[in-house]
Amino acid sequence: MNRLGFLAREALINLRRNLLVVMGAVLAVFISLALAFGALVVNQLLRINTLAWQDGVHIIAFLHDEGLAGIPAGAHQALVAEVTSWDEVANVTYVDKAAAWAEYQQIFADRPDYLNIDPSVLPASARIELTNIDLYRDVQFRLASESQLIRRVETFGEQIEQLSSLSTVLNLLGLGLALVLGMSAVILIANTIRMAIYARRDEVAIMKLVGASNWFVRIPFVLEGMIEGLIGAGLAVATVWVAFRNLRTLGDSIEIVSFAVPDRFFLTWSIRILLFGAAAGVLGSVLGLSRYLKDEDGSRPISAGARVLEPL
Amino acid sequence: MIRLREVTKVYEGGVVAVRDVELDIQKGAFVFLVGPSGSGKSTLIRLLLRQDTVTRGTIWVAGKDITQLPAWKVPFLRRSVGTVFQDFKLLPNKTVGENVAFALEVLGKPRSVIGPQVQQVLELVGLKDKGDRYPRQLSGGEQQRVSIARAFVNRPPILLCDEPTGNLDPATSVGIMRLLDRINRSGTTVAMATHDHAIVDAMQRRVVQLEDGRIIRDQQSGRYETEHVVEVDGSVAQ
Ligand SMILES: Nc1ncnc2c1ncn2[C@@H]1O[C@H](COP(=O)(O)OP(=O)(O)O)[C@@H](O)[C@H]1O
Ligand SMILES: [Mg+2]
Repeated sequence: MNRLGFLAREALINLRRNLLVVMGAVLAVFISLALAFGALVVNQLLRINTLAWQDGVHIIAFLHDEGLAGIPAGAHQALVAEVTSWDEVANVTYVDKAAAWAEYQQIFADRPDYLNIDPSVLPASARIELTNIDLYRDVQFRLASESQLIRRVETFGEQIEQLSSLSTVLNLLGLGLALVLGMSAVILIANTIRMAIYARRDEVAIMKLVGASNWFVRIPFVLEGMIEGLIGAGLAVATVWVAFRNLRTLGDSIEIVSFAVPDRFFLTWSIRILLFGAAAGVLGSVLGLSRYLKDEDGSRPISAGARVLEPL
Repeated sequence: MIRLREVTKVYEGGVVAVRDVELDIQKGAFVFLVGPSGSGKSTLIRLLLRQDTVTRGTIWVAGKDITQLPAWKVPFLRRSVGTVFQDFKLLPNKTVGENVAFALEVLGKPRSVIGPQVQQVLELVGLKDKGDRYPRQLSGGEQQRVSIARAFVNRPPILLCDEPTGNLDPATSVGIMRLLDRINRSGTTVAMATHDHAIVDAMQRRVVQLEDGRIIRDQQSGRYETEHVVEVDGSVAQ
């Protein structure tokens, strides 16, 4: 207990002493993790929104009326039943001619001139939701074989594909940037650790002289790096959280786009980001210590200046 | 307690600081390492602490060959060897008490043990009322007492001192020597590098004289100089 308290105290003293450099390192961790987290959330939003796009309907098959040449009564229901059984299809909603007319009236409620049509020209349709959007071409192709029954097939697959490739590009960009910044964050942390070692060289020398074990000397520095990483990650999580919280309220008023990222997604990724920050901090400190980690006891002879940085 | 055989230390760059040194120091002994500056006294102490490694030869401390000691065990060697230096090596931002306690804290001793032990050793060195002072508020002699307290608080069987009176005036030095003598009488083996003639002559203890890294004299109850003539160029005629 006392030992832990001592080590934590030492780490905090270090942090205070190099406030400016530490802030730089924390900022780098913050920016890189906020970018990474932001990219993940945006990606998730795109996924949610493309899936939900057009109320989750990915393909609409407009059908020839029953009772026309070669189309017996019940053919529509048979088709719906068959398409529903396909593996690629998650759900099929049948909209009959009456419902289509109702929908049409609703859409053009404010354009009375449009309502002057014969309701019977509106076709019935099967509205198909896919299990996986990427499969839209397959489903389109299979529907084509029912051509005597189907008047026209409309799909949102291409638009969805474009959106998802956009999200892929955005993601790669975001994650790439986050990676580069993350690396510089690790290097900056390593730098703060070197400075801390230098600032505390007398203490370190005395610790070693009175027989402190090597890990005991190192742990405050590792803790210091970990705290830096954690603070940066905490800031990143908080910022992304606040940002998307505000977007969500904004989204509620826009209505077309949903900004409602599931809380579970947020929570798991927040924890992962925090762990990631801590790991980056530890990596940075180990890097910073590495030159002094060698267990060789410095028989290197050297100038008085270099002697100061005897291996830890 | 301490045994050196054929110990040679060559620094990078080729300076031979210690050559073929053979030395035995019994448990409870008090030994002066004397010799002009550059004769290898500090190097010898650094080797005993494994702050440096030998180029050749073997050093045993408390029966263990420390030249073969893996690096992770070096801290354990240092816990059984207290050290006192000319420049005190106190931390200026810690009080006297904290400086002494530091030596126990880094060993992970519980606070309940540290407090009384620090108080006890401060009493021993005659600073029991100055535990809350900072080093800058003390005289040189008092600062050296703090550093001795820190070296001794863990009751190591060996105490190594490198010119502990080097920065002190003669009167203060006498006080420090009394303290070291008392520590030695309590059973601690003490080896002290010095070139302070007066002290060595007054103490009448074993003297090991170094020159150019070689032991040129090893005498029980010796004086700093031999009875032989010291020649003009500083070398000692046998
Ligand atoms: N780290 C070092 N690198 C190279 N030479 C050194 C180093 N330390 C000491 N020396 C040399 O080794 C010799 C012995 O030095 P030292 O042991 O400090 O002597 P003393 O303590 O008796 O004055 C000197 O010639 C000194 O210059
Ligand atoms: Mg010296």
